[in-house]
Amino acid sequence: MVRTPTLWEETSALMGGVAALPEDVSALEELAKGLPPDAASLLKGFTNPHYIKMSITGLKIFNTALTSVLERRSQGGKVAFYCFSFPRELLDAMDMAPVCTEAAGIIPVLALGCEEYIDAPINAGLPDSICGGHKATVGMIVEQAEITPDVIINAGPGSCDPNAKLHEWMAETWDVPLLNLDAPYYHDDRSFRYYRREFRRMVERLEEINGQKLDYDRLKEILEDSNEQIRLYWEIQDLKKAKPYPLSNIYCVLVELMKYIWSGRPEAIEYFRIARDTAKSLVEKGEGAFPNQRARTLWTYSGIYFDMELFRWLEEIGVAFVQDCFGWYPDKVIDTSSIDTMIDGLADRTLNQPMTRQHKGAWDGPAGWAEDMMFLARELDIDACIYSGNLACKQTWGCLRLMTDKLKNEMGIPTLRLETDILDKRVTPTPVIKEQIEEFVSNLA
Amino acid sequence: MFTVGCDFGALAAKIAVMDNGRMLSSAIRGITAAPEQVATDLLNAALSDAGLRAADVGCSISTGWGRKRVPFADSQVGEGACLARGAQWLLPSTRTVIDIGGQNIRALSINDAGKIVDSNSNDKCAAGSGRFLEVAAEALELKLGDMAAVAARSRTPAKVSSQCCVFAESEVVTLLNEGRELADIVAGVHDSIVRRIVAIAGPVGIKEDVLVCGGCAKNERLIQGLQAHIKLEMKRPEVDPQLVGAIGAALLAQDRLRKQPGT
Amino acid sequence: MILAGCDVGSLSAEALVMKNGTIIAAEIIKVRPRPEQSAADVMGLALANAGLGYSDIDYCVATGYGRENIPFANGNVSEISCHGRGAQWLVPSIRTVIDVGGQDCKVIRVDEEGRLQNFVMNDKCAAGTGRFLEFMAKLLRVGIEDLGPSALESEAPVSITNVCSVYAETEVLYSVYEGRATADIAAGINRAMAERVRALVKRVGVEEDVCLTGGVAKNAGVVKELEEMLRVEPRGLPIDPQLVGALGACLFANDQLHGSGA
Repeated sequence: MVRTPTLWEETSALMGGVAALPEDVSALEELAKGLPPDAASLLKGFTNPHYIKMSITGLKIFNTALTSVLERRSQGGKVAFYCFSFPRELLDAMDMAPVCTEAAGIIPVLALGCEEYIDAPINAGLPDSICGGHKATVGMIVEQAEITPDVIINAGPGSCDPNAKLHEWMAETWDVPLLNLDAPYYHDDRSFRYYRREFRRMVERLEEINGQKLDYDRLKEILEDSNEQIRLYWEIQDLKKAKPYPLSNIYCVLVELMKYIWSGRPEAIEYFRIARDTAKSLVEKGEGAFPNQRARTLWTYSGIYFDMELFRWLEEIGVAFVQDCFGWYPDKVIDTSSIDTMIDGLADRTLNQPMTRQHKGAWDGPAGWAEDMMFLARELDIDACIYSGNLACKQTWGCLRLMTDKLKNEMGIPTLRLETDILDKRVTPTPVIKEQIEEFVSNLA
Repeated sequence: MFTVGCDFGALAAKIAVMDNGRMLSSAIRGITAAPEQVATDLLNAALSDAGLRAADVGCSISTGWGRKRVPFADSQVGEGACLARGAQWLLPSTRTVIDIGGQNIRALSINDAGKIVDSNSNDKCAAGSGRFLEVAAEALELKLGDMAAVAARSRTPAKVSSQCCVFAESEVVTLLNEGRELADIVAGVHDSIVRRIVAIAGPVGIKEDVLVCGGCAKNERLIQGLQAHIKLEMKRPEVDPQLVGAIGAALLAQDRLRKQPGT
Repeated sequence: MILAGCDVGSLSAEALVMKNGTIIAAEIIKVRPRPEQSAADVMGLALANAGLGYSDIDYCVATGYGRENIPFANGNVSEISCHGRGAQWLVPSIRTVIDVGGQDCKVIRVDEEGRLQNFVMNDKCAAGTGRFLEFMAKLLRVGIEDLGPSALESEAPVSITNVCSVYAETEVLYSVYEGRATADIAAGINRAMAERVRALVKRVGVEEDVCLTGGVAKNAGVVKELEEMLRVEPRGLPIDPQLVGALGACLFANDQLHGSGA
């Protein structure tokens, strides 16, 4: 029997308080004082004074996204768990209740600090080397704190075995249909044609399960919003090149969340607009988002999500979190003139999402990890790289040394290697991470 | 321009007083009281040796494990940067620094401009560090300073695993009970440490000239072992190898003063 | 039917004899230099106590060091399997055994019949073994048995962030020099110990009921911290936990004698 209120309902109630926040740093800090340590730390990450408006907008979007899914679910919409790289625009156009599998667990854990959901899957017999993002989601269902979905979609993020096997496990254990997109290893025309065919087959199957066809007019509307988001995203990527760095470090992590949980929605466009406007005004004044900047960093894989306060702390020690792999969307604007161009556009975009793009094939192949990271390092004039390695990410650990050597030898850029879990702070606690980052940055001079 | 560098390590505190590129005095002390007290005593001793007063010092920088606990420091800098600066000053041709402390091993690869391009250390596990020597010495009832000499007598070194220092005692005692020669066991302990140092230094890319510093650099057996493995000369600084970090810190303090207007 | 189990460890050796499903003799001795000697000595004692001879035994299983070479044993089984099996037989609801010994730490998952489901062991790193506590107790100049009680008055446990015992030692030394209260340092040590054990447990997860065996199970401070971290209340065992391995061996002897294997 799933408990009531369910975990998301509980989280939504807490996030409701967030929706009422004024755009004021001191209001945020006041609110943080009264909260348990995890939620307080979450809020502290958002306190850059230039970007308070953007931060509050982002926080409100968490709330909006969660509430909207709960509403749609209660109205009988089919709940679709989708892997982060999958375009939720499609699921919105099918009037479903889309839930990003990875974010579904992360948000409650961040807001409520409930570590028992991270442990629950392991207690139930799953290996502990599975994605941190998945642990909490699976855990909350194992613990009957949340309802199982009606369908699960896996977009095939690059060569991640834990992801592949866990999706099979979820489908089998919960007796839920699984739609598995097969991502090819190469980055050529043939591969894209193959993936587009996969995508079409997936849409057909999804329509069967949903009991409702894809509304192409609605999709066109949503994609046009999504395109606007992408245009703003690219503008901001250009603004990032400015020195001193004009964006708050929290921008990068919020961008990912916008993409995964609210892509193609007006509120997300609003978020990007505020970010663009703020960055632009700082660049025009020749100002940075925070003072005494000493290093521009590229995080070659993920950020660290269990302690959002780290993003603000980095600002306090003058370190800019300019870019991470998971926040890098080489998305094109989608041609919305016909059904075909829209579906093809979505398929192409999905195959180009972070992780899928870089890790579906050779680490040093076309659009592979090495190429993308070196491109970003050059474009954004990066001083140093940080690799934050989750236990389960074998596809990056397996070639990390090759990557760091290449960055060092060809570009003179050093990499700090951190062993962390994206969600479980007990693996490597914050004080240890801070020490390692501090030492690394202080050696850069 | 007088500057002070204080390297407050986990086991020993080191200090260097410099004047325009000359070392005036230095001191090394074990940590036997509250860090602030040890640091202050150390400063007083070094200043007294140099014939200076605290007010004469233009800038002080601290580094090391306890760097935030040095009351007179104007700022703190990471160990890597201090080691690199100190090593480069002592031996300008240095391109690899291997710092072997009591429980920490750190390797740096530096380029022609003295910038650190890669670094590695045993930040999670003290296995195969100088601590291993200490624990083994205690278990074998030998003086730490005599270990290298004892090892020199060995003809067939025992194979000693590079496992946890805390378990080292039982391993060493087991070998003794099995009738292995003391010299062979001690040689084996050294070899195990050499292997661990190589494992940590290897990944940064060991290039000539290699400068070895830290307390364990005084151990001839370790140096010989490293030379045999890496097949390059292990150079030592002309000063006490434990001082390289403190010297680097003092030099960085000097650099900082020079950048200020009016100096 | 008379069955026997023999377990030779690194510090102690145990023997246990069962007659028709009831334990009739059990012995614990300090190990001799060679495992065969330890096995012979401890089994001899146990048999003597029960008034039996080797010829009375229907089947004997050996476990622990040198288990393949025990002359009087009919078969042998790994100590992990024996440990798990023995614990579950004593308290049938047990599904997880956390064994924190002097030099290693094991977590064993069993099913409702005591069969091994999963396990993880650390015997390479002192963190999370009794050795860690010994090492720390020496620094504080207290007996290892005092670490639990002295931590009771702590109000602000010292935080020990390093996992490695050697680095943790430095943190403790600094705390001592700073004049932190012994109670606070002891509490910090207990918590650090529990964290290391929890990190190992986390790798195979926990299913209730849980039991704690090994010397560290006697440290109330560590046990309390572990209970809080794992959110469980461990069950006690009705016999000396040191005998669990030999008991398990005995149960496997029953299986092997009746052809159901191990």
